[in-house]
Order: sequence, then C-alpha cells, then structure tokens
Amino acid sequence: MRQLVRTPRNIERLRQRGEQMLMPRVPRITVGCATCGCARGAREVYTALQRSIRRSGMSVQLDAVGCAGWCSKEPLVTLQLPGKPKITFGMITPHEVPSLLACVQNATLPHEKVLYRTDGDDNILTGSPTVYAKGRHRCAIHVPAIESLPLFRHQKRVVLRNCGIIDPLSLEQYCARGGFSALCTALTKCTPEAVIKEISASGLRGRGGAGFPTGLKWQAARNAHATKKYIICNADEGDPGAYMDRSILEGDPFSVLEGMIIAGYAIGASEGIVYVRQEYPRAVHTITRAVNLLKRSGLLGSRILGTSYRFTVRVVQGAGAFVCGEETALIASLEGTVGEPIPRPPYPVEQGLHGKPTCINNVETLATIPVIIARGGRWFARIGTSGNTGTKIFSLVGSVKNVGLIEVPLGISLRDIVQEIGGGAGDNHRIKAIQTGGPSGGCIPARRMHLPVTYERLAAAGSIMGSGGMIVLDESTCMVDLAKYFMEFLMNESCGKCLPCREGTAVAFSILKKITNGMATKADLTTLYAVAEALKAASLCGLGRTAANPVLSTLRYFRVEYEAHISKRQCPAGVCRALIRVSINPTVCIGCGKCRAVCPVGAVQGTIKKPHRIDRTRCTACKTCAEVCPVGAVTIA
Amino acid sequence: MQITIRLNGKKVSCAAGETILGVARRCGVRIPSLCSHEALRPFGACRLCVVEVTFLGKQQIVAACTTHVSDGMRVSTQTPRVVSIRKTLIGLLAARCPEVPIIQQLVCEYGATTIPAPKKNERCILCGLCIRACRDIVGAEALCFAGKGQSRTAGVAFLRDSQECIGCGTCVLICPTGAAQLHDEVRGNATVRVMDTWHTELAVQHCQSDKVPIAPQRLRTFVAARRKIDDDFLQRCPTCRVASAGKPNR
Amino acid sequence: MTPQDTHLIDQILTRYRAAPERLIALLQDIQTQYGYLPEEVLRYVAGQLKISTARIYAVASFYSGFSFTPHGRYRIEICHGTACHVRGSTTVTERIREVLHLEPGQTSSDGSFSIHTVRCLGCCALAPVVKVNNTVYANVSRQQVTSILEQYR
Repeated sequence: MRQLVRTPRNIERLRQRGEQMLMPRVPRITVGCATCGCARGAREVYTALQRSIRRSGMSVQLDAVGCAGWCSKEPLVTLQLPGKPKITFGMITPHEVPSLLACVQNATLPHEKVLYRTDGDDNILTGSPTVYAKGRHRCAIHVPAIESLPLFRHQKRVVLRNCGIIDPLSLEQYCARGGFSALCTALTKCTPEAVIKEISASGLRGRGGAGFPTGLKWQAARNAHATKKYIICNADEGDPGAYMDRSILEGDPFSVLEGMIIAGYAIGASEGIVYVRQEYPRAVHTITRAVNLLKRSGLLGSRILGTSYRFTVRVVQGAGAFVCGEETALIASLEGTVGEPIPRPPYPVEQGLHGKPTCINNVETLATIPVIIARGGRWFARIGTSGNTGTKIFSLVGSVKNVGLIEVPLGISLRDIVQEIGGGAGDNHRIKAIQTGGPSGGCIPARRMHLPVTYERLAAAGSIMGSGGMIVLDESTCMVDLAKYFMEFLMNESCGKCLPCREGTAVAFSILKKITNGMATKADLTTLYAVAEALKAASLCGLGRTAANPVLSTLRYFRVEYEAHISKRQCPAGVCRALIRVSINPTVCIGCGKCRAVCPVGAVQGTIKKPHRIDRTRCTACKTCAEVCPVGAVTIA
Repeated sequence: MQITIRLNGKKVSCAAGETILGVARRCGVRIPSLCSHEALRPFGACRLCVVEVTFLGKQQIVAACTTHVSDGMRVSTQTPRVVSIRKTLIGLLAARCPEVPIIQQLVCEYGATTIPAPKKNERCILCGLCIRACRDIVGAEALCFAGKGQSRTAGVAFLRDSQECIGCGTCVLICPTGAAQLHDEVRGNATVRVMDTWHTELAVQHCQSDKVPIAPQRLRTFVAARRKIDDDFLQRCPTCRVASAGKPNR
Repeated sequence: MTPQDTHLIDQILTRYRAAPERLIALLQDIQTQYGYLPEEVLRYVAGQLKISTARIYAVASFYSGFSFTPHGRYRIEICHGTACHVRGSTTVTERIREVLHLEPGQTSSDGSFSIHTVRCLGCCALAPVVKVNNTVYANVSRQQVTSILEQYR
C-alpha cells in the first residue's frame, strides 16, 4: 500500500479494504504471535499453518495477531468461517494444524482444545457492533460463548479493543475498527483546546501508576510557552510482573501512535518519542515498523490529513535501568546522560527534554485517547466510578487459574478480579494476598479482597494502583521473603545519587535477609521502621519514596509472619531455606529413589524399596525432592 | 516580587530564586549539608538539609538546597520529625564511612547511632563535589560517578589512567573527607604527580632554567589553550619568571 | 584497534556526530557490533566526538544493558520478575549455576555461555522464564535445566 493517506476519504477507503480483510469471504485464521505466544511456540504453529494452506491450495486468510489476553492458554488460534461465529482454541501445537484445517474445509465442529466462540463484538471505537454469526449454528452452540465465560464477562476491552483481533501492522484492519477516525475528528473538526476539554471531561488519569489527571497535564503543557515541545510515550515498563504496555505495543501499535499525534496536536508539540525498554525486542520492532508505515503513508510528517499540523515520531530504546521509568530520569537518558532523577519542580511539562515543555504519557494512557475522542469524554466517564473513570488493564499473574491480560472498569472489586475473572487459586491452594503496584506497591491480604480497585482505596490500604501488575499469592509465598525480594530489586536499581535510597535500600535488604535467615532481633525491626521513614520522606525521587511500601504493607498485614521469623526462627510458608526442615515421612515413603537421584548435594540416603532419609547436615532445603516425590512423602516444616 | 517566608517562626524577606538553604545560611540558621558548595549548583544528594515546609495548605519534607522559596512558605528546620530523619540519615552515612571525621562529628552533634549494616569503611561519602568542581569550575571533566546503586564510585574513566585529568588538585582541595589524595614523587630526573585516588600519574613540568618542578605538563597545556599566556612563561618557575624579566602577556 | 575497526566505528559515528545526546544509542550500536564495549573503542569515540571519556564511562557503567566484557556465545537470561520469583526462579538459577559452574554476570572460559539474571521479560504467564539468545523457554523447572542447556553444548 503505497498510497498516501491525506484525506478522510483515504481513511474511508482503507476502512473498506480492512473490513474485507476482517470479514473476508474466505475463512480467516488468526494466531496470537505476541511475545507470550511465541514463547510457547506460536511461530511454529503459524509457519505450519502457512505451509499446509499453501500446499492444500485452500483460500484462507492467515493473520498473525497480538495478545488476546488468555495468556495461560497460548498459543491461541481463532477460526473464522464466513457467516459463522469465531471459534478460539488454546494450547495449539503444530500437530493440531491438519485437524484445524480439516474443520475449515468441512465446516465441522472443532475439537477438544476449543475454548470459546465469539458471535460478535462491541467494536467500541465506532460504536456499531460487528456480527460474525448470521443465524443459529447448531454445531457451535455447544461451544461456550465468550461472554458466558467469567474470565471475559466482567471485562470491558476498551484499550485492548484490537489486540488479538487485527494484524497489528495492517493499516487497513486498524481503520476497519475505527482507527484514525478520532485523528480525523481532532485535526479537522476540533481546536487543540477542545481536544483537551474532551480529555478532561473523560476523567482519564495517567495509567503509568501515579494517576495524575491527563487533561491537567496536557493543559499545563499547552500553557507552557516555548518554540518546541515534546510528547514522550513512556514504554519503559519496568515493574516485574507487568506486561500491559508490551502487549499493546505488539498487538495494536497504531492506537498508541494515533494517541500521540492527537496529544501532540493538543499541546502544540511537533515531535514525539517512544521510549521502549530494550528488554522488549519484539515490541521495539513492532512499534518501529508501525512508525515507518505511518511515515510512508503520510500520517506522520508534515500536513497530516491535509492540515497544517506536522508531527514526527522516533523510537528510542532504553539501556536497562528501572529508574528510567521515572520522568526526569527518562529525560536524562534521552539527553545522553545517566538516568539520575532531578528534583521537581520544575516539572517536565514546564522544563523537560532539552529544557523544553515535555509531556510524558504512558502507553495505556495514549492508547485510550482515540476512544475518548471518538466516543466522547462523557461516554468514557460513564465507565468506572466517580473519580476513577474508564477501564484499567491488569496483568493478572501468579497463583490464579486464568493468567493473562485483563481490562476491567475501575471500581471493580479485587474479589471479582481474582475469583470471577481469574477463576480463583489453583486446586488445593488458598489465596493469601494480592500484590499490586510492583516494587512501589504493597500487598492486600485476602480478607480485604472486597476492596474496590481505585487509586484512592488502594493507597489507603497501603498499596498503589501502579502500572497494572497484579500478582496473586497463595499460602506458598512467604511475605517476608517477598518484601526482601522487592527491596533487593530496588537496591540494585537505585541510581545511587541520594543517600537515603542508596544506603537505605541496602540496609533494609540486609535486615530482611537477617530476618529470613532467622538471625534478626526486635531491634532490627525498629531500625527497619526508621529506615522506611527516611526513605519515604527524604528520598529524591519516587523510586526511593515508595521503596518502603512492600515491607511496610507486609508488616502491616502479616506481622505474625515477621514475628515467627524473628522470635521463633520459623518460616510458616515453608520458603526461607535457613528456617525450614525437609524430612521424609518413613510411613509414606515407598523407596522409589527418585529423591536420591535428583538431590544436588547427595543428602538423601536409602536403598531401593526401603524408606529414605535426609541427612540434615548436607541438606540445603532446595525442595527438589519434594517436587519429584510421587507419593508426597516429603514434609517441609 | 516580594517574597516573605517564615523561617522557624521568624519572618524573612527573600529574593526570587533563593533556595531555602541559601536563606537559612544568610540568616545564620544552621542546616547541615555535605554536598552543597557556594561555588557549585545544588546537587541534592546527601539529603541532610531536609526541612519541613508548609505551603498552600500542604506539609512536606523537602531538601533545602534544591527548594526555592515561595511567598507565604513556612519553614521549620528542627522539628522532631526532621531531626529524627536526619539522625537516621547520619546513621546510614556512618555505617558506610565510620572513620570519616566530619561524619563522626555529625554523629556526635545529632546523637545518632550508626545503623547496623554490613561492615564498610569508605572514605568517600559520594557527595560529588570533586566531580562537579572538575566539570563546572575547572572544565576538565575528568571525573564521573561510575556504576549505580551500591557500586556507585567516584573516579576517572575506567578508574585508571585518565587522559583528561590535568592534576590541578581542585578535587583534593574541595573534598570534605580527605578521600581525594595526591602526592608528588621524584623518579630519577623526573617528577611525577600521582593522583592516588584516581590511579593516574602525570609528568610534571620542570622549569626550563633551574629544573625546579612547577606543575603537571597537562595543566600547563590546559591553561595555555584557554588563556593567552605565553608558553615560555608557563615553562618557568616563579623565580625564573622574575629573573628573566619576561612579560606574561605578549 | 585495527584499521577495519576504525572504519567501522567511523561509520557508526557519522550517525551521531551531529547529535551527541544520542550517546546511549551510539553505545548500543557499538555493543551490537562487538558484543560488548571495548575500552579502546570508547576512548577512540570520546576523542572523535570531543567529549570527555569520563562522561562516556559514566553512561556505559550506569546502564545494565552495557557490558565491558564479552558475553558468551549463548547468553542465558533468567527472569527474576515477581511472578517468576514466586514460581521458583531462584531454584532454576541455582541449577543453572551448578550445571555450568558459573555465577550470574560471568562468562565461561571458552566463551560459550554467560549467565544473567534479568528483571522482568514480560512473559509472566509463563513463569519461570529462561531466555537463551532469542529463544524463550516457558515454565522452566529445575529438572528441565539440563535438557535445555544440552541443546547448546
């Protein structure tokens, strides 16, 4: 497609072509090929399908798409026969390719790996729903409808509207789903002030973690007077356990870019930068290609859509520093120096990159912009709850049946997220706590799961919304060990400039290590609190200021565990190696010898068919024997 | 615009652009600080200068060196919370640098206790004064902070054999703990300036006339490149300059 | 530095002479070329760009993406994100250390392997995750480590 997109009519022509691709007269098959899918072999499935289709001579449209959200079932393959509901399968391997294609040819009911059917979808950006299934389909009614699954019933996919549905790099398919209609509206029908007004009316708050009202930030950037202004998309998603931004960049990059162009128009910026962490090579590749496609089509550059507006975007990779998710550190890195935060004020919107007004927005925030412009700020504000409008994407991971990327209206309870959507903990597991906000956040205990997920309520409970990482923890997690894990992370990622963070995180980590080794005293807890106070009050930037959250929230709700480690030298969860004793129950042991074979230090003794024993002097409590024992004879106390 | 603040209850008039630390020093109110210097821009690293500020109804703990005064601000430099935080900070510093005299002084003054931590005995407090002076006053930019977090170290590129160091000794002069050291060594006919802390050696210029050592050669070329001073002048010691009656500027 | 090296670096530098603030991208290009940041090259670049070597060294030593020593032919990255941590990344790391006799951050003497513990790779649904060069291994257990590593020996 070499044609330039210069008018709304060009967009319409793209839209029509895209509709033919999304609802073709031939069968359409999509394979989820984002990072998660590929890690489970999606690329091999795609290649196998491609080869088989070519060999068979069938007319099939095959598309690689982004993450549809049900990550624990990757690779996900969706069959779309014309006029029939879409059928989605999970955990597909190249072996299943022949039978999948047979289903296509014979229009028969697909097999046991089927997950759900989709009769139609909201098409949230245009507001006119798409219908896939015309009439009833006897063979498909036994396949559960997507909206009947608790995993999807409670979700509202606004920002993830295209992920898993479109080929992320197809401009036509993006337009068919309403893409660039918002940009048309903004550039040809609205003043920049009107755009900001719409964003303010929506109540959208920054989705990177702080939750600052986006309309206010844009207004401040607009008010700043300068010859040049910048929009930066912060894709330095560093919170371990969070991958929302990666999925958006890989699954729907145009949505982010459309949001950036609108943002640039609103604040008066002519240049945008997408700052992606280098640990996301596929995301870097996808967004770079998307930028190039928009450049070639004329949607980036001068005279966008025939207006006088000019906007360019370049993609920059981070070099491996969690602290560069902080705005001033990110800017420092773009200026070619170390990622050391600087004191604020002045704020980046007043003096940012090269001293110019710079508006930094998160990926999710920017991908929301087109929807707000297309459907209106008031429409968006009706979703969610007062002060916390719209939806939020969470990466729901950990000890939960349905692991994946979910999008829910704000204000939904943690319980609904974890039990309804997540399906609860796996078999024989009990939910203990939910960790939100990454290393700057805290743990909400299971008994408080009725909490509505809003910025204020999570903060009041000792955590933060954060960027969206939500980790479900069961009884096999030691909360002290978890606090130690986060403190070690922050100690290693601290830029080291300011004293409280550099030394404080190191000292707090050493105390937590002492506690997990059973060598701590009550005085150490007092020191920990003092260091936490210094971190919170005296650190130069947000990394240091929130560094104590994990340890403070676990002390608040799981004090008993700390006391057990300190006073009784016990780890109730059976995790801290110095405090657990691994032993073999002689009445249960069948003497198979599997434990002896895997023990890395030769601590298991015994002969075949006789009960085995663990030599306590050699045992390092790695628990590998427990993992392989077929009869559960290994006990951990 | 007239800016009036309350500093520990007392009204003080300030100029726009003044920092809380600057105003406090002007008024003789003591706020401890290790990383600030009147010849350098504020750095905000040691955080010892934290104070409690109430402004527009909000109460915050901020660093005095990097916070500009605003009209109506109320500043308290010794509230119990501030003192407690300072004590913890000093305790953290003492854990890293137990034998540095200025730290020991602060420990006494604030009644702080060394925070128990894995044993360390550093001389450098990572205040950055040497680095900032070398870059912003001298202009050699031979020093930097290498690494991050716990491995943060002040040093030259690759921590040895700097090509940019001119051996002027500003770092040694400005260092508050004596961590930065240099000494001159005679080796045969030559003199060498050894920048001990930076693992760099520089050949020293000897006077053309009486062979007395003057200063590192690189210092001579650095100055000559930036000032219209006759090279002949720079290659003589003070005595010989007078004796030769040569004019410093031609 | 050989004349070929000089030519190569000069080519990389043409992109950056006019934009010295893109120092990080420049270092990334050099590391892509050599697999690490050789000291000689950095000193040469400082001279060519007329900026202090100390400034380049500060940036190169700050970011964990840069290395002053060569990595192994097979770069083993073990994800230590939260989801991987609670699912046993410590145990997997331990096993890899045992099998290769290497600590994280080290390269084997024959240059074949190097181990790195990394922050989140963003594949939390597949915890614990291990990446060898561009191949991502999902749900890695302690027992699987040997068979995964065998593919590269």
